Amino acid sequence: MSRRADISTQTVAAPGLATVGDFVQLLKPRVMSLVVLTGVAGMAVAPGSLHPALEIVAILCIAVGAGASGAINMWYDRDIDAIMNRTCGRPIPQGRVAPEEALAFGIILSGFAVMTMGLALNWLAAGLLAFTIGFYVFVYTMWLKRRTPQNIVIGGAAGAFPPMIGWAAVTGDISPASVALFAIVFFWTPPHFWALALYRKGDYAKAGVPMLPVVAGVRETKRQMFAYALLLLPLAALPAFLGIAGPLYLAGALVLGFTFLARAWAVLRSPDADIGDPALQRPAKRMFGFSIVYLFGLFVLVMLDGGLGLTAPLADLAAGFGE
Amino acid sequence: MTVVAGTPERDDERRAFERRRRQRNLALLFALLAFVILIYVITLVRLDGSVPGAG
Repeated sequence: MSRRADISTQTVAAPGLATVGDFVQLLKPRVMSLVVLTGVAGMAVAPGSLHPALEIVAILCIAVGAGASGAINMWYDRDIDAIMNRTCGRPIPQGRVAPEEALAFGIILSGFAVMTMGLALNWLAAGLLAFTIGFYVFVYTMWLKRRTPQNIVIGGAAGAFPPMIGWAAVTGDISPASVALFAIVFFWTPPHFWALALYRKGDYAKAGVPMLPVVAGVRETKRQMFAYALLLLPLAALPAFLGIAGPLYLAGALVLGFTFLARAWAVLRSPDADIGDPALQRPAKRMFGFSIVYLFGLFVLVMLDGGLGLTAPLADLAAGFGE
Repeated sequence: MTVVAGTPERDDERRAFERRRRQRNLALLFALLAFVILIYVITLVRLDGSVPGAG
C-alpha cells in the first residue's frame, strides 16, 4: 500500500478563501494550550528567575514552535486528513488554505520561534525547541506515523519536550527534574492517544494509519493502555522526590493517578467485540477526556506547589525530622 | 475591465474576497509590528545583562 493516500481525495485550494481563523486553526490551538501549560510548568519550577518580559518571550516561542510544527504536520498529512472524519474539516482538506501556504507558514514560524528563543534566552533552549519541531515533523509525521503502531510512543517525545525547554530557558541546562517532567508527558501520551484511537479506529483504518487498535487489535491496545497508566503512577510522583514539588503535589498526583488507572481499568474490562457501538465507546471516550484533565491537573499542581512553594519539598521535610 | 487571476467576478464573492484579504493584511501588519516591538524589548532587557546561560 502506498504511504501517501490517493491524491484524488485532496481538494484544491481556491486563492483568497483563507481567513485569519484558518491560519490560527493550522496552529492546532488545543494542542498548543497543553504544550504551553507544560512549558510554563517547566519554567515555574526551575531554580532561578527570568526577567518577566523574557518569560513571556519564552512562552511565546514554545507556543509558536508547537503551532508551527502543527502547521507543517497538516501540510504533510493533507491526504489522510481529507479521508478521516476527525480531520476532514481542517483548512487544507477544505480547500481554504493552499498546502504550500501552510508549509511556508509553518517554516517561517519555526524559524521565528527558534531564533527568538536563541537570541532572547539561550541556545540550549533554542536547540531543544528546534529538535522538538524537527522530531515532530521528520520523525513522527513523515517517518513513524504511517509505518508503525509505535508511532505515538516514540513520536510522543516531541510533545514531552516543552517542560524541558521551559526549564532550559530559565537555567540554561538539563536536570533530572526536567527529565522527570519529560517522562510524565512521554508515558502519558500512548494511553491518551490510544483511547482516542479506540473509538476512532475505523477512521484510522480507512486512512491507512497503523494505530495500535488497527494493527494489534482492541484487546492488546487496552492491555497496553493499562500498563502505561500503571507506569505513570510512580513516575508522576517523581517531582515530589526530586525537590521541585512537595506533599501537596504528591497527594494530588496520587489521586489523579489512581483515577486515571481506574479509567484504564474500566476500558480494559469493557467488551471489545464491537468498538463501533457508541455504548461500548463510552469508557474509551471517558478515558480520553480524563487524560487531558489528568495532565492539566498534574502540571497545575506542580506549578502551584513547586513554583509558588505552597508546601516544602519532601527532602526538606525529611531533613527537618532528622534534626 | 481587467480581472486579476483568482479574483472572483461576482460582486458578493468579490466583497467577501476583499474582506478576507483585508483581514489577512491587517493580521500580518499587527504580527510585524508585534515582532518589531518584541525585538526592541528583548534588546533592552538583554542590554541589562540579566539572562543566565546566555552567550
